[in-house]
Amino acid sequence: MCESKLNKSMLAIGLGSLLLVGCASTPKESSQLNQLEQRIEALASAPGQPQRAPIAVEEAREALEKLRTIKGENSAAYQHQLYLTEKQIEIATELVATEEAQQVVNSADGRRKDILLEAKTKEVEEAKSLAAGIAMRAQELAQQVEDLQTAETDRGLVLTLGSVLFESGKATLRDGAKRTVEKVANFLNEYPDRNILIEGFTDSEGSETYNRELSQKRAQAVRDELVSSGVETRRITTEGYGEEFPVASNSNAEGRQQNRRVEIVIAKSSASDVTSRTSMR
Amino acid sequence: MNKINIFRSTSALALILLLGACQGNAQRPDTLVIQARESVKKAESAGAVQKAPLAMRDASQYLGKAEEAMSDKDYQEAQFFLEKSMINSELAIARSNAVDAKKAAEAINKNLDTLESEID
Repeated sequence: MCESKLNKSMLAIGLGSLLLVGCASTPKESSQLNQLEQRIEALASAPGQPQRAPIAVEEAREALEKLRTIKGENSAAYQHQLYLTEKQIEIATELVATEEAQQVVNSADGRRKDILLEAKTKEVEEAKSLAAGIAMRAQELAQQVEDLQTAETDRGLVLTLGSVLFESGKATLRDGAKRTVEKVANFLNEYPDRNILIEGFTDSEGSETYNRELSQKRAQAVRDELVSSGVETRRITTEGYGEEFPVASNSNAEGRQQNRRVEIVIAKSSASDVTSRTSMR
Repeated sequence: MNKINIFRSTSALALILLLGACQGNAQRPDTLVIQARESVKKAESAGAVQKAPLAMRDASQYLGKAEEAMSDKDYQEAQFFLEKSMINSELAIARSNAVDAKKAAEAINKNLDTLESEID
């Protein structure tokens, strides 16, 4: 009689008081055991594939099963097994936490790649829209400036200055051409982080050596004019190709005029150089 | 006189038998003692003194109690203490590993957060 009353009140009071009562027998399904079971099952259902710390969780289950088989809640054997079960659950808890943390570590490379990829994509898109902006500005410029064509190529944006810049056979700019180059300089100064390659070309009249030298001098003349209009020297590289890389036939005057030209190639991205034609051969 | 002596010795014998019965048929848990000592050492070398001080303390204290019980020839009690010591050593190691893993994960999360904020 005393026992059953005690059992009921014990259930109500809770688990701690169990230890204090000397004469109680074991209720098969005490709330204490249920609580332990809940803790174990919470660990078993911890998110993650495959299941986290399955062996430790199973050991906790086994410890609890063993506890259920021991009669007499206040027996030394029961209290001992209860202690071991609780510790086993704590161990499983730590192992689950360890695996969760390791998962974070293991997935770090993937997450880092994702972040970098996202950034790269963003960068590429920004570069694209910037390039589109430059091309648009260049077209505006081409409309303002006579004898200037623009084209987007794999090497970058190309501004082609026609032969009217120079007197025939000379490498000094005409007075009128200086204003053109100045406008180009202003344009280039809008994109100060882009490197520039200036390429000179001639038609096929005259010797190859002479043409090469003339084209080189013309490219340099354009560079000097750009520099005097505020474009930084270190951005600029010059090349003289002479009669190489014609854009039209040299067999008629019109074609030859097209071949006499200076091309200003603007690098596609900041801090990269324009690919030289000779390296592409 | 002699009778009393006999009575005394029989009652002493009875007491011993009774104690023996209380202690059950427990054998000297010598192997367990060795294992428990090794477990404590293992936990210590896993850095549990710093990383899991409570479990480590319990492991050491229960080992001490077990050794006392052994010298009292209370082998059942000793076995319980040894098992408690060992499970605490195991817990101390598991907790130390968890502390290390969590630190590593924290560092990586911080690292990735920094990377993310640098990019934005």
